[in-house]
Amino acid sequence: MMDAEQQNQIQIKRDALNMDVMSLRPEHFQDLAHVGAILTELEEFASLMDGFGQPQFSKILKELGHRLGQIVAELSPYESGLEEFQQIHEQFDNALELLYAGDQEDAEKILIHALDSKSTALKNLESQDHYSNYAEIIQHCTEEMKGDETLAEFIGETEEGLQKAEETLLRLEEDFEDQKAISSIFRVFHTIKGTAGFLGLSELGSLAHRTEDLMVQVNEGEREITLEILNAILCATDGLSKLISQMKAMIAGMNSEVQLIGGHSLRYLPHISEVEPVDLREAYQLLDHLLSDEVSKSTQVSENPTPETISATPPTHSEEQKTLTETHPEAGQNLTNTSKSSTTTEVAKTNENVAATQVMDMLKIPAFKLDELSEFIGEMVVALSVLSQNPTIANLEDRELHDRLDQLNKITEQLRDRILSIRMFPVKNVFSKLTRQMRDLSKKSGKQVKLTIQGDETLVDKTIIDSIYAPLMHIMRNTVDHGIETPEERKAVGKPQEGTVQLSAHHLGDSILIEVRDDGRGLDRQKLLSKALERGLISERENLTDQQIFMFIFTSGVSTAKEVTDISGRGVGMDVVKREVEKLRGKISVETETGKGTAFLIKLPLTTSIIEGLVVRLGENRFVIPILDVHLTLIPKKDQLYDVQDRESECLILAGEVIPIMRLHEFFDVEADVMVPEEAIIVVVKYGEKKYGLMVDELLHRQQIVVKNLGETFVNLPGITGGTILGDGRVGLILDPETLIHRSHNINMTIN
Amino acid sequence: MNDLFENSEGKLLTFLLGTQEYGIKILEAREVVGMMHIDPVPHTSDFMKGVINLRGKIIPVIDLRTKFKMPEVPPTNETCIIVVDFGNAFTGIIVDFLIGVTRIEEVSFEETPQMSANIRAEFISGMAKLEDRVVIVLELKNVLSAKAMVSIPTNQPEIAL
Repeated sequence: MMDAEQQNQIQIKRDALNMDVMSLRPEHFQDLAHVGAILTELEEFASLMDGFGQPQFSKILKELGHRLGQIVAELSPYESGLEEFQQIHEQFDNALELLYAGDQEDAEKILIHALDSKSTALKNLESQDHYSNYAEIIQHCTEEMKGDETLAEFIGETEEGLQKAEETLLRLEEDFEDQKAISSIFRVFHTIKGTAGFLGLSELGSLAHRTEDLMVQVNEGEREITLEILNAILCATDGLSKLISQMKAMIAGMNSEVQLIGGHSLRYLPHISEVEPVDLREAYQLLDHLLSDEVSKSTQVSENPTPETISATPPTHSEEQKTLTETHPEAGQNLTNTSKSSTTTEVAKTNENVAATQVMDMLKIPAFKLDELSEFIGEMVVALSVLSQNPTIANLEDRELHDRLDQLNKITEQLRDRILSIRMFPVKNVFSKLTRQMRDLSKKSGKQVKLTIQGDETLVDKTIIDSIYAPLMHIMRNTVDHGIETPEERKAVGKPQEGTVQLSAHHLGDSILIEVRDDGRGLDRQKLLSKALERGLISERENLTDQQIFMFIFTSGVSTAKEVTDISGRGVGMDVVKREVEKLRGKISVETETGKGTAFLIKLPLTTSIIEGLVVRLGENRFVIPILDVHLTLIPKKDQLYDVQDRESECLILAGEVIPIMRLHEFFDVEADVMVPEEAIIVVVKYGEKKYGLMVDELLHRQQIVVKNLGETFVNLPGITGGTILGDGRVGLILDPETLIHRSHNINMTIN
Repeated sequence: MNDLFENSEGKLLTFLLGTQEYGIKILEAREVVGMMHIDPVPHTSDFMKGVINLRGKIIPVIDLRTKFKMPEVPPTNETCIIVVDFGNAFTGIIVDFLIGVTRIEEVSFEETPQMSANIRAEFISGMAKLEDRVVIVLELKNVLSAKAMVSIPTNQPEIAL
């Protein structure tokens, strides 16, 4: 029982605190002085309660201070963090009321409950370190790891390991008995735990450890794999991935503006606004639940771990082969079958063997070194062609010299091909990530979607691998959200309840074609049309082909989704997808059939740095037209040319098709030798379904060119996408038919 | 201007445009090359002469005379291109005559003095008085601002095809 004086002192503090908590708004967190004052108050209140022999009260006040600090430091989101803070405060206030009434016991019960409540409130006290311990990471970054390769290596390895674990988990989902997969997952987490511990990254380490605990039980046959376990591990994998990417972001943006908040015992925290706090609670909850849940363990708990599952099997011949095929997917295709059949008899293998072999076979090289190499080889190819085109050399009648030059040319070309192939990786890396996303998407949307994958061994340039994931992800999202109908709708139209999305990749000449094909409802032609009208993209009278209308899906602000969901439907997105694909010098198109489904087709060049180009002359200027865009070239006959309104020879009729002629010299405002189409050479370029004739003076030659950026100065230059060094050492500008066509003046065509 | 005296130790690379001596901070200069063939780039401002191939790199070249509204003169043997490194991008600037490296004292430097109307003050960071002459120190950042270089014709709004 407390005396009146104590109660009075407490009441003063209580009133002040109540006022502050009630008036606390998210925007106050911008004002550190304001929050600092509350923190001081909480601390004083806590020591007051300590002084009155109320350690429970003191503890909860400290916790409140801790929480507030986390919100300020952006470790907890404002909204939910504040809500929880207020909940705890309310409990505290209730307890205080009971204390006044002399009910010490009940008061403490409330407090203990508040502190122990697993679900929301004070789980945090014990798991404060589980809630993304930034300070720890940053401390490492700044003090020890700056310029230290260990951390970079760890990040790289962990990313790789996590991705592998994710792929394996998905495989495990298909086949719970896959012992090899189980031990492989186990090893990934084991390694992360170990290295994280070594580096002192306890945050990562402890989550990996918890996951490993669970995997040990599975690995040793103590419990059966269940979907629940897989989910928990996937969740933990996500958490770890997020932590890793956060570390990356932090190392990248090391501008740690260190803030000391309110002079309190808060740790030094960086202000990195782009980084969102990682919430690991779900992962921990799932794991802890499973680990504490004895019932679900399988009944035959073996006392000893089954020796054969973890004992080291000496590397067999087939194992080495397998590793070889993994490291060199393109080289080992014919080996795969034989090795597969011979491995089936072996139950389990340790990954140490695999790892050891890989270390011997693989070299990790910083990517920029390869980029340098491909740039140099590009230069070499060009320099060599300059040399071959040199008139003095070309006129020499020295047979041996020309033979040698040819040989040098051949070797250089081979060298270039080899160097480019180093940069090639199977699209599998991207596809497997998408598989994972698809799983989550279909769960989230409540639709049943099956993803089938074809051609994931297709090799593409690393640049493409790195940048194609986001656009594909976006398409997938749209597909699941809009394309695929709900199970009920599907049933009603006689389709199987489960929708199918087909993701495939294959080579098509010098390019690679990636397709996302669904069997959903198809695009709504009418809706796209009315959206386009609504947004003033077209006028009522325009006569558009279906293909033109469907292409509106790639226009900003046109979304056919009836309502915006958290997956997609805001009408931004497909235009971004198109831009991303174009950045890679690719093309995107869409095919759709009402009720049958939609397919998005992405055509990408094999490599983004070297393209085949047609060099044309226009007066003094030389331009390069990418061969991929060239349909044909011709010298027009008089009867092929038609006038439009008052302009002569505005278009060309080719096989019944009207092709508008673009006077490039007018567009670029440059001097040209030939001013009329009758005397010019026309290069017909294709963009989507449309063809345009570009008027040029002369076709010079066809050559492989190294695409170079023109730099910041010339961003958004209409009609031009880059530059290259031509055979004579001068600069040629690479034409971009798409922006040319968009910018051209002739949009509505009518033949006189 | 701290940059000039702290990092560049007051050293300028100076050159002539007409009869006036101009200078840029030595740290901004990369190299000097003789006049070479410049390939024009369409849709750019008149002072943007085009691009050159500098050992495999494509870099834009601007004519300071045109930029400063001075009359154009045909290139001579003395005309050269100073390659400057500005914000990770190389740019060449055409000058009439290269003088060399000159060191100036902080006391003799006067920041952005009043200029007559025909020269734009933001291009100039200050003037340095030397014994026998005055050097105009350029503010390259403003001279080379990328915004002014591309002149995109205004067309009707884009429509997707």
